[in-house]
Amino acid sequence: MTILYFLKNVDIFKGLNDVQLTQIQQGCREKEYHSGNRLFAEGETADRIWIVMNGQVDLRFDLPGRPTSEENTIFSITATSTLGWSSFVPPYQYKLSAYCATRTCKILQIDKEFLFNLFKKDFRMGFLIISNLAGVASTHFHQLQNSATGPPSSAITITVHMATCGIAAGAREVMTALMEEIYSSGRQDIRVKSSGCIGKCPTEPNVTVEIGGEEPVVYQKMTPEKICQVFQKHIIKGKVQEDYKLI
Amino acid sequence: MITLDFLENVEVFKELDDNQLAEVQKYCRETEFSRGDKIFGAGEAPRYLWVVMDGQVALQWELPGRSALPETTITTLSEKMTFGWSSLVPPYKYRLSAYCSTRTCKVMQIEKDALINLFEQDAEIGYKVMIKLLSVVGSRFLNLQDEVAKRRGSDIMNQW
Repeated sequence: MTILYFLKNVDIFKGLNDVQLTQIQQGCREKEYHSGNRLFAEGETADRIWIVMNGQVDLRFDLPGRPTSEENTIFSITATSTLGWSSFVPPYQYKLSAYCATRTCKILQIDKEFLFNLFKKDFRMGFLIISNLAGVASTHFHQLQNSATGPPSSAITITVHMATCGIAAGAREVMTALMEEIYSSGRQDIRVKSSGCIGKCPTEPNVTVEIGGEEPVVYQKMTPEKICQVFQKHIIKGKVQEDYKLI
Repeated sequence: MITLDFLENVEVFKELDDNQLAEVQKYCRETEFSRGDKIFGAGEAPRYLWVVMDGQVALQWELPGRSALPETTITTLSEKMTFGWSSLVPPYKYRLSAYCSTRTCKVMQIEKDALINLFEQDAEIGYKVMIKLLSVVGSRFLNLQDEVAKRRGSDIMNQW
């Protein structure tokens, strides 16, 4: 997979043309991290953006003077998602800490100054990327709201499988629709996670629903409409939606 | 009447020149609220981006179906500060509720659809406004983090 092909699918580069992506490609640096490595810490100077190429990165709200723990994870991100919008926001410090949560993870880094120089010459590119970054910040805001209103141990866990194959198939739209349903319902006992591919690419986007001690149910080929139905009928009313189940 | 003198000092329009400010000015309107009035509610679909002109506006974190409590105010905004950033950011739903928190408050409302159109036609205006708006989202994120830390207390937070 070439970097250019990968860049096309990155959340913050949505709407850019090939010429613009080629310019961005010149500022990309690949780095690899291992399980437990910290990519950056809350409070550190934010001077670049980070794009996950593979593996999973956990964003945590670490507490001062305490060791980091998975329990403090607010949300996880996987391939084609971006971190580091704080690089464009005074006082230019990261607001959360990021850790590699899989055996390894590969990251693309792009310096803020490099992007600023491109934006000065191409306002359209700047407008699109900054708007998309605002979308990322908005999602993080919403995730923080949701994780803070849920009790420490949620009775219900919903996992949206968001590897590249899932995202290409629309997993991000499914996740957005799901977050809106949860928010509107006012339910505080539901935890939403994203995770990698479950090896069933042709049936993506897949979503796993775990309620209490019941057997997990994997749904296939989810769309924003279908996940709303699953939410209303299975999660709220307890009726498994057999038609959408992965066989 | 919204003047250019006022607009040029609004936090999200600080980078714009007079011609660009005049473009934005076309879509601005002044309106007034009294203490306790709800300007908009969390979860609603936004029609406007808002700027405080006079008085104060409290942003509250509410859950659907629950009444607002004073301690849910995550920040209070005064003159020239912008709120309702979700009007310009997908999925276009207000994340917080806004209330007038002084005897009266005067606020400016800007048609979101008109702004989005303007940004499409003139990417320079779009870029200069969105980079400032991203800072507004960043400040609210920090306000929210403070509130989360307060609510949970460090022991409970450790059990997330």
